Amino acid sequence: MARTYDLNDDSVVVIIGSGAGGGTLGHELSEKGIDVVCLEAGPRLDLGDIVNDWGTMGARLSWNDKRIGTGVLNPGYPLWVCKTVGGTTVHWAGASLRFQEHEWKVRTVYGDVPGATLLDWPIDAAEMDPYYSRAEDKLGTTGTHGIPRLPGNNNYKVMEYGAKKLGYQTVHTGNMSINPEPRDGRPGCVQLGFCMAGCAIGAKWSVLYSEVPKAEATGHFELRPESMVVRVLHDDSGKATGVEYLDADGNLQMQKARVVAVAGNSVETPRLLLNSASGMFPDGLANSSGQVGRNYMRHLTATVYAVMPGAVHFDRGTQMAGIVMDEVRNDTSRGFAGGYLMETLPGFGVAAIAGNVGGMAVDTPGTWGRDYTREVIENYRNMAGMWLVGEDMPQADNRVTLHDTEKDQYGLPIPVVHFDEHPNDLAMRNHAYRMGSAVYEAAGASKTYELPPFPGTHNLGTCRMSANAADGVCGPTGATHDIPNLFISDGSQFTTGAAENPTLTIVALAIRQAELMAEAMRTNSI
Amino acid sequence: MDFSYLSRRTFLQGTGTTAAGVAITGTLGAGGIAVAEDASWAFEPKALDETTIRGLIAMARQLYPHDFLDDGPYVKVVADLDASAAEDADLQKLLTDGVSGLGVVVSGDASHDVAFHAQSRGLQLRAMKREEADNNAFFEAVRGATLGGLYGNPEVAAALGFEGSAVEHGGYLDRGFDDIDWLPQSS
Repeated sequence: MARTYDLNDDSVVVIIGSGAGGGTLGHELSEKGIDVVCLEAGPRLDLGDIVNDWGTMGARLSWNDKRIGTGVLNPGYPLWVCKTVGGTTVHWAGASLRFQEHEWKVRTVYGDVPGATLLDWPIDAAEMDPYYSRAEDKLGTTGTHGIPRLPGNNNYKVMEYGAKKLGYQTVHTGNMSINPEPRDGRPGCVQLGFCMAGCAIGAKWSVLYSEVPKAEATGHFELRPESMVVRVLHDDSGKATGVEYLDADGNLQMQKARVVAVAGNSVETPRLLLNSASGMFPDGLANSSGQVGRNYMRHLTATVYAVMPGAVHFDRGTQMAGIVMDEVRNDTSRGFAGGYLMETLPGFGVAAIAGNVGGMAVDTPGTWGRDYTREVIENYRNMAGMWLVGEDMPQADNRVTLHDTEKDQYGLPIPVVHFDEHPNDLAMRNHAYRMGSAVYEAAGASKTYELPPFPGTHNLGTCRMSANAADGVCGPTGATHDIPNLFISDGSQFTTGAAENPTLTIVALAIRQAELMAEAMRTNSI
Repeated sequence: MDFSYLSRRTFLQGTGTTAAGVAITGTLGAGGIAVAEDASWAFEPKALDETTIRGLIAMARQLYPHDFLDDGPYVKVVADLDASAAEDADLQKLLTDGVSGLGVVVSGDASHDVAFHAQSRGLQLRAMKREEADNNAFFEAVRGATLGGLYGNPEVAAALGFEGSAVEHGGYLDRGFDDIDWLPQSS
């Protein structure tokens, strides 16, 4: 049974955010008998709330509170993430890839890349291997633990054909946390095609229906949805003591805590630390390094759509239906450090294609008019599409800050997210565009369109993990360097981003963090 | 790389616009106007005058023309805009002034008023390109509403190959998710 905790119960671990990091951490701790209060800003939906409609689900799931983007970011909508129980695991595509071994140590492997703030992670592939294995088992990742891969849809078959014709070797339907057959209480995938609107049948792993009910069943977990944390509190000794939050009715509450773990995604996590500034910590909590909010990464990302000689119906079936992995290696002969992946991606419906191809690609007959509708929109059924995702370079000035004057509906300064690209990012994207287009041309495309990044869904690195306290915000356990009972538990802790979709790594880190936190609590070191 | 065109509404709610669509009456009601030769697509205007409505319908079709569509889906876009304008005086003014601006035909140093809906296709395009280059909140408001409304209309989307909600049909596992037949067999 889900239980409830008193606001003055100072024995609980308070987790802020219920996504891949916070939700997993909460479930793992609760299984160990540790009492958890999980505060989530968004509402709790159930499968009945998930429908196959992009517009409805965009409005229902997304984090739409005001944010400002500067640099190359969309000024009014810099990120596309979720405000709902389960966080971005409700809208993720399900791609579950491990970092490559070298991606834990890129400062050593890539060397000094001018302008980049590269750093080696203070943990490595060998350390993470067992946690990755447990994460893959938890998520039911295809291609691991004897779970077969999903069948490939039309969009995959086009990419596979072109890729193999080009000579690519590692081409398959991916490591996906989508059940090919029933497992762990979740049904098998029936190829609905709206993965990123939320899986309406729950075949895709999500904290919403996979972790939260199990956590509640332990009797050690309380979820409080529609609870926006406004401040982390501390005592005179500099230890975290609890949080203040606005409940569903807008009333300010204070929950005491033994440990506080922040997992609000890479904008809200540093924003909360900055908003928690106090007399003792005037620059924000855990910010003696000045690194809170810095080194924001969002992966390379780009999209190629192609007009093929026959019908593809790329909306049919899983959205990330397959992957080409040959370019993910680090091979500086290509003119850049790091690597990237090709993953199928359709277009989120006709309205989105009609707006995005003309609005974002250059090689179209404008954005409207007869030539545009004939060349682009009336070819919708023949379109294939892929997303290109790779490692981007951390930079100190790509960062989350607080707006000087403007406040949101909670009365908190709105976040300003700045991102400019590094020359390595541009060189990699150039290569990715060329090779992605070549894949489709090898399969007979009459036209390809190159689209720059959509608002970021992989947002990383704003409270990064570092061996030395001067270089980052948290140490190898995720505990902040400055405040030992304050943890970073989401993608914000990424030291560098690697090329792979981040969720599996966030989950693996959360499983590991739960073990380390429980041990520290058992030995009373926190 | 400029994504400033990408409003939150267009990106996230591109297909949601029709949810709040107004009913289009099948007959010409009192005070209603026939907006096309075929009076079956008349609706009761709530905020906009006839010239503005006719102009917006012509503009919507010029923005995203498809020979296989009759005026119906374009009228629906404009009916939605009219309903929004009834709640938003600024939008009403923007649309009314905007269509009025499109009704100016420039010829040498002179300009002449010709209602936009009555202009030839070439003159209409000339006027729209002029407005697009000039500014223009009006142009982008109508373009965004037409994008979201027209392509968010399930019948229009279906005609273009977007098959809509799949969950009530059991997905595509048995309905062609891998039915591609024109690709040579890959090795």
